[in-house]
Amino acid sequence: MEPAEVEFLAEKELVTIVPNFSLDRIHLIGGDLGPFNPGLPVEVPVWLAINLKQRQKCRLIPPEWMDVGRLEEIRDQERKEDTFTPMPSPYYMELTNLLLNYASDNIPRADEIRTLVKDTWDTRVAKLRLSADSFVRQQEAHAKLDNLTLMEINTTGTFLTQALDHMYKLRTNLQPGESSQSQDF
Amino acid sequence: AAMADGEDEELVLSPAQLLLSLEQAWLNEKFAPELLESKPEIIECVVEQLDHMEANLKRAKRGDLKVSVHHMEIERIRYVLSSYLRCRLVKIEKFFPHILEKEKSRADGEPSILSPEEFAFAKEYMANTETHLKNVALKHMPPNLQKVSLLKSVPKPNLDSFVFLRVLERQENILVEPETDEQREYAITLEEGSQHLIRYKTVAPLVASGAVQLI
Repeated sequence: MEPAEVEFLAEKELVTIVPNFSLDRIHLIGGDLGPFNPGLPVEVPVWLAINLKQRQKCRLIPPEWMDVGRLEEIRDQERKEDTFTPMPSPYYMELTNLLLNYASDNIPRADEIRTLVKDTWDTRVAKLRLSADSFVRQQEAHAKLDNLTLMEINTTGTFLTQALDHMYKLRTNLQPGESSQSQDF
Repeated sequence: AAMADGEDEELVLSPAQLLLSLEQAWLNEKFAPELLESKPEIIECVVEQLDHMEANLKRAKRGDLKVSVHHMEIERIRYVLSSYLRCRLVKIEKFFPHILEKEKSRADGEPSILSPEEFAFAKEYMANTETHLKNVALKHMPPNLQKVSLLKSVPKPNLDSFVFLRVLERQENILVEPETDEQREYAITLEEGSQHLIRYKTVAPLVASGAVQLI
């Protein structure tokens, strides 16, 4: 899956905006939104929030986890533990990227937040690489990956599954007389 | 939106649930190594919703903010729908002899993996490929070498590929087969909400039933 497609999924998450316009309820196929009144916070999906922000029709309110103190705690815990910390949002990376790219003026200490999230991401991806390496070496048949987010799985996922496929083909071809999928010619 | 169940019971899904079903079908199709069952009910209902919404928008005032928001949603839904259908076509082109063979030997009550349009496409693709091979190479071969079995020469989907999944409905006693001769098989429980990396073959029926979601 392309990172842009993972981001596409992340854009369905709800975020709070403060509109500067009035609009009564919108009945989308996926559900109802609004009504919108100037100055009154309302929840909308990220794809709409970003669009409204770009049209200067609202300001965004960062999610409560997008805060320096909270993110420092998470980063420290991630560095301390061998296992994966449960993240405050299954789309923490995508939301951070989107909100900081389009609405950094609405987010206090945006640069620090960007750095903290990146540090946490780097730690997690490094752990994932180690796990993937040991999975392949020990020829495991199954792994549980509960606290990993979609973006992290997607980053190493394709490479890992293709590598496992290649190894499987090499292994089954080593055993003569086995019904392998190779061609007859 | 109303969808007919296999046993002819009408399952009424809200539009939001319908969109979620489409998304799930899309992700499963993306990550499954083989072509999955076709979902004509979901496609029909989604297209119906989109047509209905577009008809409403035609009548609305132009330049209205509401109209642009509706359009954005429609574009998003169309993207998922197109990507889903394109993903299926890619697999059909890749595995066409095996898919057509499977369809030929399907029992009467079993659901089809191809929609009528996809079936027509697959047959045409096969015929075109055979003609192409004949014109480009086979007719120039000595008479006893002019036949090629597409079923034997086109690679089959690798059902032993590893896939990532999220568990939607708890499953007990899933047997994990060993990778090496030294290992033994063992059983695991798939807890609701957990995520796993495992061979597709082990969980193929769970993907079909909707108990797990490929990610």
